Amino acid sequence: MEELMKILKELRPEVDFEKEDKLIDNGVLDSFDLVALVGEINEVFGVEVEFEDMEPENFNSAKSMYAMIERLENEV
Amino acid sequence: MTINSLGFLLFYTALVIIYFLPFMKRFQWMLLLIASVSFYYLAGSNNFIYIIAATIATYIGANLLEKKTQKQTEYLAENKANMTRPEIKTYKESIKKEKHNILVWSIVVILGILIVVKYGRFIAGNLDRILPMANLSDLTFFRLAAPLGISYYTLMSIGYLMDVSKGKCQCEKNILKTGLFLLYFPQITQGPIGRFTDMAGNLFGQHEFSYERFSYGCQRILWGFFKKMVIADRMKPMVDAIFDNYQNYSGFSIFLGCMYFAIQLYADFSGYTDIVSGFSGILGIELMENFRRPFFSTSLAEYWRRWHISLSTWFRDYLFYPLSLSSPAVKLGRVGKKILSPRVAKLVPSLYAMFIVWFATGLWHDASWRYILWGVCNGVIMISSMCLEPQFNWIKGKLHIANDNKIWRVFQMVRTFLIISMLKVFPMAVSTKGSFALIGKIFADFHIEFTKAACFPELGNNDFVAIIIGLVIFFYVSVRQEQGPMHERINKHSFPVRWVMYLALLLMLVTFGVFGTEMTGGFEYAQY
Amino acid sequence: MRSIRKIGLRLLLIIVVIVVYEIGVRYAYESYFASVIYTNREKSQMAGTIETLYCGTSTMQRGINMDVADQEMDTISFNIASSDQPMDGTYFLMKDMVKDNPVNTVFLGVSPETMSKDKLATKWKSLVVDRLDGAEDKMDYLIHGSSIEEWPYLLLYSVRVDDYLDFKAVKKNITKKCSKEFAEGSTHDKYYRGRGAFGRNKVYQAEPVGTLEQRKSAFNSADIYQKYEDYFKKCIEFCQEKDIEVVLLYPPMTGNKINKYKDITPIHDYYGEIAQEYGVEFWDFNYYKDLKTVFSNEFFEDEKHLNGEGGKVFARELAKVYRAYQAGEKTDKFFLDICPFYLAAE
Repeated sequence: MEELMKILKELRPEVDFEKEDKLIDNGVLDSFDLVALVGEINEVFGVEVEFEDMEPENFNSAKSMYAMIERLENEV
Repeated sequence: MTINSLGFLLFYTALVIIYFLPFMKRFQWMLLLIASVSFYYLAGSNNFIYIIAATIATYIGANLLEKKTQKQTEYLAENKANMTRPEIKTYKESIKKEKHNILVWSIVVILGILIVVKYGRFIAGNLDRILPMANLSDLTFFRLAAPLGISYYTLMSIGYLMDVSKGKCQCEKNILKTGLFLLYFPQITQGPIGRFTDMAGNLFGQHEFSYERFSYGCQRILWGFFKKMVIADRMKPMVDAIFDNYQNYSGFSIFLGCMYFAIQLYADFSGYTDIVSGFSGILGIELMENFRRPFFSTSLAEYWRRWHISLSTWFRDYLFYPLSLSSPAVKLGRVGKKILSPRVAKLVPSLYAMFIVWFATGLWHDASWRYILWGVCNGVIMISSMCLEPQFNWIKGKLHIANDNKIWRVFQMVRTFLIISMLKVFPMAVSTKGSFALIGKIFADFHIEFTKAACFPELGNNDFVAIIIGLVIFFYVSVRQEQGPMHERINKHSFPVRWVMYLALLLMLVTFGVFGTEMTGGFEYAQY
Repeated sequence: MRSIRKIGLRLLLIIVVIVVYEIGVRYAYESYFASVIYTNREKSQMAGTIETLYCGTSTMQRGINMDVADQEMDTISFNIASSDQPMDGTYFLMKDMVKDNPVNTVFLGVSPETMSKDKLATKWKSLVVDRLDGAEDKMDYLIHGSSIEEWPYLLLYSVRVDDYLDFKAVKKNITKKCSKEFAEGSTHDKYYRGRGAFGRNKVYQAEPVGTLEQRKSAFNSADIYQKYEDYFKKCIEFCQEKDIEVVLLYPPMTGNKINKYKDITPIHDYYGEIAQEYGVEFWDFNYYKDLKTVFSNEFFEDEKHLNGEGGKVFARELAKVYRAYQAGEKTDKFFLDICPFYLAAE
């Protein structure tokens, strides 16, 4: 989780990722942020975030992002 | 028959009366389908074959995809216990590949129809340049008008197929309902480009008559007609005068014309969206928001989040994301990391996808090089501003400009509006050469002249009054809408206050609205 | 249900507001000398007395002086012609007049240009709508003679106003309409000659034409818009059903205008055939034996329309033919077999 927070803070230092839970719905992260974020997640966690995973529910909060990463890691 | 005609009003009134009859609830969607088919026919298209083909391809594709997903679920449920992890993974990969193929083939067919019908002439024309003897562009087939709404329902269909493939939505098992989704008459002319997940529930559901929805719908329809007939149609002669004869106007007038066109197009298109949203809302089916006060944008990127929202979000969700996650983008990203700064390197996949998306957006608007150029220019401007962000911030820092500085924000809005206006040289010209001629004229011949002939050519007194009053009201309403949705606030006022507003708008419509013998020309975006 | 009542009431409110607004706008912006105001007023004043009707387009509206005609023909007449009047408009206007008046004669003016135009400009249809009284008549014409998209223009004056900023004109209109003279009907335009007729004082300044050459005609009966031809015949049939004498009438034109037709013989033949089919008279004044001498250019305002004085002349000549006809004589003696302009000068 701290790894994820590090990535997020580096991407958008001004955002409070601990509290925000409507990152996509409120437009806090735009589409470019998302793509850059996915690139970092893929590299750091060794997963492959795919088109199927690009849904607002998966990215609205740091928690849901982490849940998605875990799922991808454990998925067979 | 177009949406903005009395004939349509009669058609719609008859529809609404039948739609809300007590026994019709279960059949409402069928009635909508019949109405949509009738509307398609009455709108002058008698080539149903294209939309029927698209419906069939969509239906088959979606159902095949769903079958594969089901097959996987069933197989795994039965056999997972006996399979090793690598085996499960391989199996999943193979199903994924099969689904991918189905999706690709469905898209090829549906997109293929669009390409042949709408871009055939353009492609043939370009091929002719290489092989003049073939004279491909002269084929009669290419001279036929594109079927109504093809650019819109093609995107809707592709979006739906991708959502089914993703597992985001259930596929529609009824081919007639699939057809209704694509043909639905309020959005067939020029969108909004609806998503199946958003619409299916309401489109196929049962609806009671609601007085609140009815009155809200009527408000939207009135507001839409006001924008279209009092503002957009009154500005049209002036804009046409400048661009049909641009050689006789100075660069200053032409640039003014670009700004007028930007406003006219906004009034026209957002007016249409309000009208069709109103009509559809009364039936209980909400359409997607298409405009959010785009001229209050502080950057071109923000503009595209506020203008023709259903289109830009479609391109974002169904082209931009897949492209930026694709292997070429990832590979480019890795290359970028080696040669570029870390900040820009992170952007590389986005930039790659952006360029393609904007090329496609331009091409979607029209089968011509000038529109492709327009799209690419939009993309390049946004890409540059992303890459140069630190430099801009440094300048801002030096000038001590804070981001929430009001004057700075106004400057940004004006700057964005000027950029958008300048880019209008591409749509306003009739050819690519024409666009460059316009650009040339603007820069070479820019002498400011504050005369009526230079600033407001071909503008009658009625036009002038209508536009001024219309724009003042439009601007005021837009500012208020930025502060919060208008609808509830309007309803808080008493009956007399509200009705004075409605009647004032209606009387202005009757006084200043352009009726003509046919109620105005059609909508600008219907040609797509 | 409550909703239907709510909607109904609001709809009523909207209609009432629009009607009131309309009345106000029309009062302010319709010219105090618009002939339709006086035409309608005289029509209702004279209801029950009109015996003769003049129908057609601007050539009929401006071609006949009603006072002279009535004196010469000993009748009471009314002119329901208007510019570029579409044939279906003529039919409904005629029906409207016959309903309220003891009409026994109708002079049906012919105009090949107006009958050739499919979808005439809505502006000319509005002249018809304005002259029809009664909602039923108006709706009848709107349904048969126009498309639904034209209805806002035809029904609402607010849609027609050319220039809302012409406050000078508005002021004049209101002051004049409030005046005593307006109530008495004497503020109308110097062009309005009473009972629907018009006549300008302008004189056509062109050299009189000598002899014309008959070239290949510009007119082709295939160009006639079928709907208008049908209504033309309907007019004749209607009159015959009601035992009304109907005479097809082609007002005289200048040689310059006749020249533009290259050969007007096919036009004459076209209407002649219809006249024969129904057994009615056709008086083509472009074949009038005294066309060149009596209808000289000084009696025209332009190449096609008679002026104020010309209206009196035409009324007298028309009366001559009419009286002879009433006396049982053959009217052929007044007309030649060919347009006089095509005959070589003696």
